[in-house]
Amino acid sequence: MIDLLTSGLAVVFAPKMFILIIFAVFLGTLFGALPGVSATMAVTLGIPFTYKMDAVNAIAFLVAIYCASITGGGMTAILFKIPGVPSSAPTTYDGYPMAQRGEAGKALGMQLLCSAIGGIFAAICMLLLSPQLTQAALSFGPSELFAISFMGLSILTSLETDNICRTLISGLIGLMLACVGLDPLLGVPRLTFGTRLLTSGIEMIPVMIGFFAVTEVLKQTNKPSKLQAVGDSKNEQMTAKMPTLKEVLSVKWIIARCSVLGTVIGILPGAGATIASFLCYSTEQKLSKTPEKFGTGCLEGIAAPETGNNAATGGAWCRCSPWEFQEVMQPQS
Amino acid sequence: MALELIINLLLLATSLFCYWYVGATMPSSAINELGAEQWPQALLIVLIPALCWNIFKYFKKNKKEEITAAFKDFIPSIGRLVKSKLFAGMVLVVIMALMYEPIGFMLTCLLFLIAYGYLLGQRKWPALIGTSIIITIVLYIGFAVLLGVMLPRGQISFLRNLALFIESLIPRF
Repeated sequence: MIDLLTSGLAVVFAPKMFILIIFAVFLGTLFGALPGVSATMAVTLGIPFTYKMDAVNAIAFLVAIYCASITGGGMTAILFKIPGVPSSAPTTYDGYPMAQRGEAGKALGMQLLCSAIGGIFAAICMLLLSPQLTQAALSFGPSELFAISFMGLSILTSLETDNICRTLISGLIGLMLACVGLDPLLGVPRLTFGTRLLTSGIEMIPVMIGFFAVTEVLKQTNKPSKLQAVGDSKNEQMTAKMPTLKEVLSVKWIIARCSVLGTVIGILPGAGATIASFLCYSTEQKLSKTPEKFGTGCLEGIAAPETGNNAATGGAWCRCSPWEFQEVMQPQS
Repeated sequence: MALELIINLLLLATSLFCYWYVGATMPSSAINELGAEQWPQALLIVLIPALCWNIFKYFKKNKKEEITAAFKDFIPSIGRLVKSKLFAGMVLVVIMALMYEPIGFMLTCLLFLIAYGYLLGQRKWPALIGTSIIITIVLYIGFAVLLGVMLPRGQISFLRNLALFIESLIPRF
C-alpha cells in the first residue's frame, strides 16, 4: 500500500501533472459556480481536454474538475443565493444571510475549509477502504436503492417540525413535478398536457434557479433600498475576514460527523452529493443545541452541507474505482 | 392569510384534475403490473388528503371574522401588487420566457437587461445600453462559444440573420 501511495503522490506532484490539476481545479470551480452547469456536466465538458492525455492524467484531471465544481457551487450560493450545483442548495440557507450581514469572507472561508476537509477525508477513506466499501455498495439491489431514496425523502420530516403537513405537501408536489415527462419504464408521455416541451420532464437546475435565483432577483426589485446600500454605512462593515481558529474549532465535531456521513452516503449507489448535503444539514440542525440559529446565517449551517457534499464526492469515486479504473489503466491493444 | 387558503384550494383543484387526467390519458395497465399512471396517482392519493387537512387546519386556526377581514383586504392587496415593481419584474420574466424562442437569445437578453435595469431605477441610457450589450456578449461567449450550449437564434428570419451576423463577429475557439 505504501508503495502505491508514494507512486501515486509522485505522479500527482510531477510538474506537468500538478499544473494540469491546478487548471482542472480552476475550470471545475468556474463550471461549478455557473448556475446551470452541474458537476456531471462539468466533467462532461472536461472530457474533450482528456482526449490526448494518458489514462492517469485524464483520471486526475476529471476527478479534480468534479471535486472543484462541487466546491465552486457553494461560492455563488453564499454570494448570490444561487447554488451553482444542486448540492449547494442548503448552503444558501446560512451562507447568503451571512453575506448580507457583511460576513461573506467568513462564510466563504468556512465553506472552502470544510470542503477541503470533507474532500480529503473522503479521499483517505477511498484509499484505505475502497475495495471493501465497493463490494458492500455493489451488493445493493433495487430494494436497498429504494430504501436509500426513501431515507433521502425522510429528511423532509426534520426540515420544518412545526408544520409537517406543509412539508409533506411540498415534498409531494416536488415528486409530482418529477413525474412529468416520459415514463422511464413504458416510454409514454405522462402529465405533459399535450406539450412537446414537457416531454423531457422538468429538469432540476431550471427549477433550482427559479426557486432560488429568480425569487431573489424579484425580492431585490421590491426592495430597492438594499441595492442602493452600496457605499452606505452598513456596507463599510463588510470585511474579507476569514473565520478565526476558535470559530473553526467550534464546528470541529460537525465537520467530523458530516465527513463520515457524507462519505457513507457518497458510497451508496443512488444517493449522492445532494442527498448528502441536505442530510448533513438536517442532522446537524437536529443535534445542535441552538437549532433556531440555523437558517439565520450561522457557520454551522455552512460547515455541515459543504463538508457533506465534498465528502460524498470521494465516496462516489469509491464505487467506480476498482473495476472501471482497472479497465482504463490496461494498455490499449 | 387569504392567499394561503386560495393557494391550498387551487392546489386541491389541480390535484383532483391531475388524478383524473393522468388516469384518462395513460394507456391502461394490466391488473398485475404497475402502470405509468399509478405512481402519480399514488402520490395524489396522499397529496389530496394532506391538502384537505391543511385547509381544515386553516379554518380551525383562524376565526370566521378574521377570514372575512382577510378576504375583504385581498382585492385591494391585488391592486397594490399590480402597481408594485415586483409585479412588473414578474411580468418581465414571463415576457422574456415567451420571447426567448421566437426572437432568439441575443435580442431577448439585451431587451430584458435594458428593461430590468430601467425598472431597478437606472435612468442613464448610455450606461444602461452599454452594460446590457456587454453582459449579453459575455453570456453568449460563455455559454454558446465556450460551453457549446445551443442558444436559440429566433424564428423570425431577419432576427435570425441578425443573430447569425452578430455570431459571425465573435471568433470561435
